[in-house]
Amino acid sequence: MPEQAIDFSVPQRQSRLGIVVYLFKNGRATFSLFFALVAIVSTQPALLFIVPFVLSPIIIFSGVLAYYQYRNFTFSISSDEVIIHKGVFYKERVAVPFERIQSIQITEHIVQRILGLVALRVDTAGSKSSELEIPALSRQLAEILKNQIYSHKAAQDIIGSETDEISENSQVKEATGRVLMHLSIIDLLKVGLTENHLRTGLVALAFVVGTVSQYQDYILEKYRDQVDSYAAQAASLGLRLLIVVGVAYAVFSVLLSVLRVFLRFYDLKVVLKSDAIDVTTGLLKRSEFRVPLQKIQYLRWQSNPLRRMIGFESVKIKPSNSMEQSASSERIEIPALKEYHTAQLVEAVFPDYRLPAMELKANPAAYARLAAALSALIILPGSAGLAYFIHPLLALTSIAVPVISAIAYQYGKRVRLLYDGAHIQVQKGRIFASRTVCQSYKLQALELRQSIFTQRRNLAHVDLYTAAGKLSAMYLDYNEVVEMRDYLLYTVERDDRDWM
Amino acid sequence: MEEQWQNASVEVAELPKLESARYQLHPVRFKRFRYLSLLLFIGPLIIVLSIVAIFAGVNWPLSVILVLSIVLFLNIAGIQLDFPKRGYALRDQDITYAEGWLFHSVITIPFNRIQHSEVSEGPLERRFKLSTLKIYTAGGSSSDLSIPGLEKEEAQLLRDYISKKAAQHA
Repeated sequence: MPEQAIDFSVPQRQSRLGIVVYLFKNGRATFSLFFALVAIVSTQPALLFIVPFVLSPIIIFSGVLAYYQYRNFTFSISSDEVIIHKGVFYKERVAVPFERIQSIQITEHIVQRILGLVALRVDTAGSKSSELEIPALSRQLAEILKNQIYSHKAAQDIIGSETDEISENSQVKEATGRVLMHLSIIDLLKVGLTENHLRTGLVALAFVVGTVSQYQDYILEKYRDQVDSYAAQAASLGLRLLIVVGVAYAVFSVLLSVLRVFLRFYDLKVVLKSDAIDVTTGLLKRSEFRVPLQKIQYLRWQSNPLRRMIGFESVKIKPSNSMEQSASSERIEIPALKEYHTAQLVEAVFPDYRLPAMELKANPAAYARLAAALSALIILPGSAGLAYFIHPLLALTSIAVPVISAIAYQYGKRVRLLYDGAHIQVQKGRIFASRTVCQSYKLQALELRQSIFTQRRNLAHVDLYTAAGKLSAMYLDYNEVVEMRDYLLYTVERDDRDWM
Repeated sequence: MEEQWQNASVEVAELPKLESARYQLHPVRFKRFRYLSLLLFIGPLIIVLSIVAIFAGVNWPLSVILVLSIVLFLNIAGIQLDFPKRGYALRDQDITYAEGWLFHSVITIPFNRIQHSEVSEGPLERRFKLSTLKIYTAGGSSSDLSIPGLEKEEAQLLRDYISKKAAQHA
């Protein structure tokens, strides 16, 4: 397709192969119906003859539906908005003005990938209903469309300049990206091996338990005898079995982590441009994110002891977004930053970053007290019960309370809130250390919280809200927090730069 | 967009202090409104449970009623003690809302970060001639602010003032 030949001001259709994408999208309902039929027929084979009668009209219907979904879907770019028309039974027109566009993402599912198609999504700061997706475009067309929308947007953002000149400029900008990182397979493997396996394992366990409990009755019914004999064997093996299961579980968790990391971060590429960050990532489902630098609300670095050992940190990039989209914006993560990557990223996003001058330290004793109270409430009755009913020595489990409190104290010692007129940095934790940096003028609300307990000790919690979520810190000195609030409000209120 | 801006040093002692701002309390009938909405929530539960206890001749609803009564009592105490601590403060550049007795929170939203604002009133509020002012910020609902229990005219005046202030910055 020649690039200049496409006139987006005229409504355009998607790629014809889009019919297949729609067919697959509608197919999920058909699949579940199909399995229901299989289940019915497997119990009563006499009903086999109804299958074609039920299935064929549905297949024909979904085919026709997919065709009309494709046919009725058009998209165009007017002078100030992106417009799509869609719908078979209910016709719908969705329009997103350029100034509302937060970012444009290109993604591909496995089906789209096979067909050589991509989906283009335009994210807005508003609610879910105002976002716009074009599910079946050829990659080339999607790129052209994306660039067209961006250049329209750029032309509109800078009022009073000549349109042609600016789109030319942004074309130039497009070209001069600087690759921050291109994740190699070795690094990918390192990332996978240094994931938080405990969390992966627990998530998997929860999933398995959830699934099994759903079909518990069915499974038990069918395999009752086997389960009983296994249970008897297991009991006789005792400790040995426990160790085997533990090791298997650990290996499984690690493998799962690696698999997850490969699916998500395969061939991760991060390009820094003068006005945006482009991230391309994923194995089966390849996603492409572009975050305009202006839209970035904060960066959050996180690490764990394994990662730190090999010098990696991960960073999450949070652009302003609606709540509903927080799940997808959560995905903008770069998992293997070395120190020099971080330096480059900070320089691109926060050009004149210095460590903020003023520092608020949390009161670690308050963290310890909170942890002591909560853990005592949960653990002490438990260990009392164990000691009484099983063995007096089990009363030793109550040692967990002071241990947890000590950990909380150490954590509290690391909680810092640094601020000045330009930036805010929140640091937390030691083992799973995190730090979050945002620009002071991007705050949009400030909240101070005090309970009757913290009031007595002249402490307060603080929440600093941005358009992408909040930065918070607990148990800071009340007077210092009040001073910070007045200072930050003063900073925000005299700064009318666009913050989102 | 990237205009020049100075970063002159600021005397912290000379910054405008939010603590010295004057808080506007709610009309006293807002307390009655809160009592009534609490009662409308818990009352029917207690009645249903009492009926079950009397006619089915079982004892477990009594303990639930006891718990509900304690919740009710705590909430009444909460509404009473919270009232003098609840109110909004309007300044030249921002609006602040303070609430809560056991857990006190003070949230401030600068006018130049407000997306839009609206006044609403529910059926029960209407009976009490009260209105709620809602203030929306960007990016989800986490930092949105809603100020209930305002006189209707007061809420509308506030909304107009806030819209005007917010528009000045846009």
